[in-house]
Amino acid sequence: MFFWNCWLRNRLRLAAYLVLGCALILLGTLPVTMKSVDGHWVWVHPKTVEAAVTAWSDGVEHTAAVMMFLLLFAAADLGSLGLGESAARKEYDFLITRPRPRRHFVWTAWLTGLAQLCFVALIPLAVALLTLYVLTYGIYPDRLWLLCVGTMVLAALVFSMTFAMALATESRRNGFEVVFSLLIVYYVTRLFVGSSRGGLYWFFSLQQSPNTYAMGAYDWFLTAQRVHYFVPLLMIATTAVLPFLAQLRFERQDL
Amino acid sequence: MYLWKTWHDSRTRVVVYILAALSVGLLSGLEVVTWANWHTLQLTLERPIHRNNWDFYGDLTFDLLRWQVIGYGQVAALLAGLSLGASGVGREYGAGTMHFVLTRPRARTNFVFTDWMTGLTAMVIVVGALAYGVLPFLWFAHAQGPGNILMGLPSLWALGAAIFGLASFTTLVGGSAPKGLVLSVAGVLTYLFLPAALYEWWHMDTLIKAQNWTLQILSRDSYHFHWSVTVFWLAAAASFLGASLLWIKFREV
Repeated sequence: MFFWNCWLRNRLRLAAYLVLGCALILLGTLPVTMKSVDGHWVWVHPKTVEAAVTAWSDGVEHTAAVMMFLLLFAAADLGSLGLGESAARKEYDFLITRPRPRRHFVWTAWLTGLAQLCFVALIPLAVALLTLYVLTYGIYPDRLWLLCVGTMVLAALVFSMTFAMALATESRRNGFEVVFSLLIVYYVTRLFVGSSRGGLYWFFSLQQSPNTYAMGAYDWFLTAQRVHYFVPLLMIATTAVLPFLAQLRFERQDL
Repeated sequence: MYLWKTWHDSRTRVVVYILAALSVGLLSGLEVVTWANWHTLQLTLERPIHRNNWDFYGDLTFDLLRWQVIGYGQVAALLAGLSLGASGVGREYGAGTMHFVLTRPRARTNFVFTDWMTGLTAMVIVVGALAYGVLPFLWFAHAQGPGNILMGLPSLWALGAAIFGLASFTTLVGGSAPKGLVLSVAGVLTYLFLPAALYEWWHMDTLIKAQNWTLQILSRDSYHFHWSVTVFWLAAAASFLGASLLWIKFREV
């Protein structure tokens, strides 16, 4: 019951993200087979496998950039709309009259948001695959899955952080602001630490891949050494632990 | 009276941002001076002590401090502008207090002006706090005078005012602080992402040229004051103010 409450509350937002995501994916994937002919950019069907693979490579890079842009933003927004929004709407008093333990509400809200985030990831991804297939008549995804899993892991972490922060501060706005500030601080710090190979280099930047728009989400997966797989594992563990912390907080709240 | 309420509602946020900006200014100043000292020491070991070494030290410190102010200044302008803008009068709709606010014997536009006055003053102090934290290190390093660093502040303030205006307007349109914040963040991200995407993917350079022109105030290589860009951002802020005034004037409640 509470699942549908959460789902219905976010349905318009979900639809907006899906439309936006598909539009951005088309913006990124359609031009991959464009060539300059007599000073004009026109669509040219790739005649060789190599040309198709190059087009897919570009398409994968563009898709990864769009997915990162879309998923991080959607994750922060959907996360803040969990139980933090219920606090703002003063729904807690009604919620806890239901014959359910408090943890039920926390985990239901968290799972609903995560399910919606998966929709936001999967449908644009399907559109990207379809568009690239139509343009090239072949499927050469190469690093696509790796890049998308990397982005999804980061997005899930951001989602969990916003969810927990919004619940802790009892305000959707505060949760969103805290996580947005943390993300900016992370990327700014990363610029400084990542370029000087300091002691925290492993955390902020392992390796900038020259042929990708990767900015932090993917380089953990793409690093040539492949010795830092524990970082994504750490991110997944944090993603799973944060709802527990939110549950502890919610169970001890004086309502 | 509304001035007091606006300040009361946003004071914690303002104090946190001021303290954060001051801390970042002081820490980055300390980092730069340490780093410049280290490099000057290396230079001094490589060649006999010469006055040029100290000139090098002063110039290096000045450049790095200036970059820090511009680099962190844009982040401070962005965060303070968005956060304080989302504390605009539009939040009263979400809180359900707008009906009460409008019973006050004041014109509707008065509330918008009061919000803007409070918010812009706070934003100016927050962005300025970043530069003030850096200034003692300029004196310490005997680098060039503070004028060249402070010269970048009005442009950052103008940029912050435009972001504040955007967030304040979207909060008014969305009718709640979270909606305004999300819409304005989406607006900022689109402004940064779309021109680059159109240029890289669709080979259309009109928007990226316009974007580069508007963001040249953030360039590390620019040492002069950008009158035209500053006026552009102020005009953008004034447009958002005008749109907010019109919106609240013709809105039903």
